[in-house]
Parts: sequence; C-alpha cells; structure tokens
Amino acid sequence: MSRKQASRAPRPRPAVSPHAARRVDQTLYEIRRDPDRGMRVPARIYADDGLWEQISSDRSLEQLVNVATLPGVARAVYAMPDAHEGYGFPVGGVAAFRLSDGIVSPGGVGYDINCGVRLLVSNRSVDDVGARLESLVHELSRSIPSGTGRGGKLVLDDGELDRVFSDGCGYLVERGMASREDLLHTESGGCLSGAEPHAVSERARNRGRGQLGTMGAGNHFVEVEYVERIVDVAAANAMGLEVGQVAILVHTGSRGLGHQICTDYVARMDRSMVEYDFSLPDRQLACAPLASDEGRAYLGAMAAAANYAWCNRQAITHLARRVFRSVLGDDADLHLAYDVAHNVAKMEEHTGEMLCVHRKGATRAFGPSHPETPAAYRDVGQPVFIPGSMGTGSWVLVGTDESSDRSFGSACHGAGRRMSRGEARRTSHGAAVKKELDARGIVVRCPSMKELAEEAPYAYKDVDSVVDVVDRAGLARRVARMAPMGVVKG
Amino acid sequence: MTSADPKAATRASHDYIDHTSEVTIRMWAATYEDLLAETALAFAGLVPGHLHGESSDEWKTILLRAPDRAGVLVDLVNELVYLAEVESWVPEEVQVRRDDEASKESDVVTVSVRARGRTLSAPFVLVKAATLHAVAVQDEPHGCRGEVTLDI
Repeated sequence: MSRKQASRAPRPRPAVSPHAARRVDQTLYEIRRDPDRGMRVPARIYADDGLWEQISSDRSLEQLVNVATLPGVARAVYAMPDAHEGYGFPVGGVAAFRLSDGIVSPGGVGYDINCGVRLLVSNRSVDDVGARLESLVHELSRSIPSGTGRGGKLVLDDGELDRVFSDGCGYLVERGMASREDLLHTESGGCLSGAEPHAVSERARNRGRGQLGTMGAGNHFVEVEYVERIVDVAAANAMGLEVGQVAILVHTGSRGLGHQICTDYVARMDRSMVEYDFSLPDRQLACAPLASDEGRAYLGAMAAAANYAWCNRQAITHLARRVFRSVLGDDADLHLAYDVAHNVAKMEEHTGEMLCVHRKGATRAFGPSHPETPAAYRDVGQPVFIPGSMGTGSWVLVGTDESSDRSFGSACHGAGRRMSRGEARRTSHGAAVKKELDARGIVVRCPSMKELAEEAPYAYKDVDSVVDVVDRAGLARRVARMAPMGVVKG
Repeated sequence: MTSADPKAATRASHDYIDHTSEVTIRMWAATYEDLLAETALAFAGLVPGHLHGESSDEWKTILLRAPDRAGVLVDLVNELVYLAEVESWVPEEVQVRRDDEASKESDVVTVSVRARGRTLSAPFVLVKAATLHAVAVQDEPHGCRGEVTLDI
C-alpha cells in the first residue's frame, strides 16, 4: 500500500435505505456490492422480519456498508440478528481482512476488548439453593466489586501486569485462582498469542492495575440462573447441563485497560492514516495495514487486553466459587463450561486463507469439525452463550460447521439494545422494574434505580427471536434455555 | 440538560443527545477555546455527583496536540475520562488557550487547558471514551459549534 497524503475528513456517503437490501431467505438480507458506494464486498444481515425492522431503523446498515469499503475486506461483511448502531462498526458486526492487503481497525473490535461471557455450571439444583438464593446473590454482590472505578482485590504491579498480558489465565493457575481444566474450557486457552506488553501504554496500565476481578458497569453482570429446558440432550450432556441445575453467567471484559488501549490506537491510527492511500467514510473506522508498525502494535496490545479480560473473568470465577462454597456448602462446585469473547480480532483460516476476523459484539461459533473447538466439545460444537436482558433469561447453543461459510464461524453475542439509556429511563422507573422482578422471585442487586431502568428488559431485543434466527440461519444450534434466579448488575 | 439556541451562540452551552449505545454532546460557544471549555464542563455533567466532592484551588494543566481541532476535542474528553477514572477528578472551572505559534510551526493544533476541579469519592464514570465517530468542530456566523460522541 503506497503512502500518500489523504484527507482526514470522511468522504460523504448517502444514508443507506432498507430498500437497498434484498431478502435472500427467511433469515438473511443482503446489500449487494455497490462500487458507487465504494463497497468491495456485499453486506449480509441475519434477521427475520421483526428484527430487520429494528436493525434497519438505526444507522446499522450504513455502518455495515462503510465496513464493506475497507481495504482488504474479504468475502462479505455480516451483521448478526442482535445488531444495532455503534460507532464505526455496528455492534454485532463481523468482518474479515486478508493479511496481504487488509487492515486492522480498533473500532472493529470495540473499546471493551474481549468483553465476553462465561458459563459456570454448579452441582446444585434450584431446590438445593432454595431459600438461600437471597444470601447467595447478596454475597456475590459483596464479593465481586462492581462500578466503574477501581476497587479490585488484586492490585498488580508492572511485573504482574506483564504476566497477565503475556500468559493470560496461565498466570492465574500459578496464583491458585484457576485450574488447568479452566484453561481447556476457555477460548484460546485463556491466552491469545502475540501479546506485547510494551505496546500497552502507561495510561492503560494505570486504569487496569486495580481493576482485575471487577465487573465494571453498564450491561455487565453476574447472573444466577437455572436450566429451564433442554433442546439438545447430547450437547447438554457434553456441558454437564441438566434441567433444574443452577449455573452462573459472568459478563465482563477488559475494563478501563481495554478502553484505554482502544483510545490510544484509534488516535494513533487516525494520525497515521493520512500516510496511506485510502480514505474512510467514518473517522472512527481509523485503521492501519495489518503489516504496518501501527497494525502490529495494536494487535500486540489488543492481545494483552484480551488476556487481561480472560484473567478478569477467571478472577471473578475464583471469587464466585468461594461464595458458592460459603453459602451452599464446602462441596458446592462451579465448573467452567466455556468462556467466549465477543469483542476481538483473531487470525483464523477460512476456506484455505488466513484472515484477520474482527468480531464486535459477536462470538465465535465453531462447529464440531473445527480444530479450535475444545476436545470436550468435538462431538457437538463449541459452546455459544447468548444472554438476554436482565430478567429474561439466556440461551446456550453450540456452533455449527456451516457457520464457517455463513458468517466466518460467528454468531451473535446477546439480545442487543433497541433503545437508548435515556429512552429506557423515560419508559419506566427503576423501582417499577425491580417490583416486576421481585414479583417473579428474581433477586436483583444493582447500584442504582436509574441503572436498573436503563438495563430493563424492554430496552433490549427479544432474545428468543434473536436465537431463533441464529438457529434457523445455521449459525449455531440451540442446546438449553436458562431462566434467571438472581442478578448482580455492574 | 441545557437547551441551546444556535442564534445566540456567543453564550456557551451544550446538549446531550441519547443514542442506543452512546451519548453525543453537542456544544456551542463564541470561540473554539470556549467550546473546549464547555465540552469539559459537559463531560463533568455526565459524572453523577460531580457537584459534590472536595473542591480544590489547585489548577491542572493539560497540553493537547492533534492534527485538527476535532482531534483536540476528542483528546480533551479522553484526558478527562482518564483523570476521572484514575484520580477521581472532574473539572469545575476551565480556561483554554490555543498556541497559534506552535500550531503554525508544526502543522498541528496545539492547545493548553488549565482546569480547577473536584475530587470525588468513588465516582461512577460511565463514559469509557470519546470516539471519532461524527466528531465535528465547525465555525458558524456567531461562534463555534462542536459535536463529540462518547462510548458509555
């Protein structure tokens, strides 16, 4: 790629009308490759009629089309059924770039690098928990720091941070906070290779050093749930799931460390981008060639943040296990079914070509045949978790071999927001939301009523509809539906 | 929230516009320097309890250099996010000076921000970062208008 002066001002593009898309089938829409828009590949959106109406009502389509204009983009760009507008890339977007001429974009990963979800399966049933649910949720909320600042029980010096960055969850095995089995059931073994601690700024370190083992805020949570029903018995057995069994779902990421790394590299690439021979329709798509100094540095820092996030979820797991034993007995156990990332860029082989796959608000959904599917799931496929909103439950699925061709082996990451925080607060008061959850026996711990309203079920798409599309589109296959018992909000 | 009258843009003001997963701050002021100061105060307004906490007479100095005025705007908010999260500090009074000499020499926009503020106990800083998405600084007949989108 030649280095020429280029304008920083985004090139203007008309908004994308829903009519620009054609319906391919019951679960797929496509905006054909349009050179007039600078599109290098088509844009494909997985949605049924109802979800299409929501996705096409904000700027998701325009943002997806913008991603399709990026250099080196391969095959097609995808929006998952829970997609909504973000900045730069839409949330729920998947795009892959050739190593030879492609780019890496921090905005295509997101500020919360390796925000992700893990499912911990217990050896206790709903009846076993019984009247101790309130105590269990209360102790989880006391033990796992939440909120936006520091307050983590582990405050790491630079040497320890470097170990977290380089070794990921392997470092926590040394510290007695993880087992080897935990690593086998974590995406990438809880450690993405290629991490470069020196590519992490002092600012990012300062934000992250006191936040390991903390949940964060916003839509992060620790949820106590139970297996409501099983759809795929064989896959459920592989994960150790039985009807009535209690589990814990943990949703969090790399906290301020990841946010700062994204900030640092978006700024760096925004400044260096003028030297490359391309212009962008949205400045937040700031990117650099994969082989460039900026690109390599970002990937090294991103991997460090991804490893930090896995350590974060593992540290929370350690705390949750301690709480479980203290409330439910010394033999109460939580085993890790799996941990998936939903904001990350990874080097993956697809149809014989190595690509840098960006998933922003999307998870991997590899099938049984994929070499990266853990040994425990080789017969069924890699576990996929799709949380709904607070109080609506979540789904456990497994990836399919077909997803590789359909979405670079990707599925959605959740129910996706359908309204802003302000609109959610104006729709109902947090007290009313809590009252409704109380009436259903769901125990909630949330920092404020304001946040409770912002995270209310009506603020999100319907998770059952989203999962139905994922299943019918062949991206992942339903295994079990989980119902909420209690939730600790960040 | 403050309702802004674009026709009276000599008075610094700002609005918050909600989106699905973020907040956009839209600002008006007589000058670019005042616009930056207003942005800093608008950011403080997003931190719950920003009017509480211990006020300090100590002035912080923040030096910003970016290829354009919009870049400086984003960098300023990101600096404030960092200070809020790591030092529990939000601005209360802000003075901005643009260094035109330095800007001419190096073809970048150079700005010096002096701010006095409050230290909060355990602030709830929901803002993760300021993004480059649709960031804008525009001159208007009566002053300057800006817009920056924040990841929440």
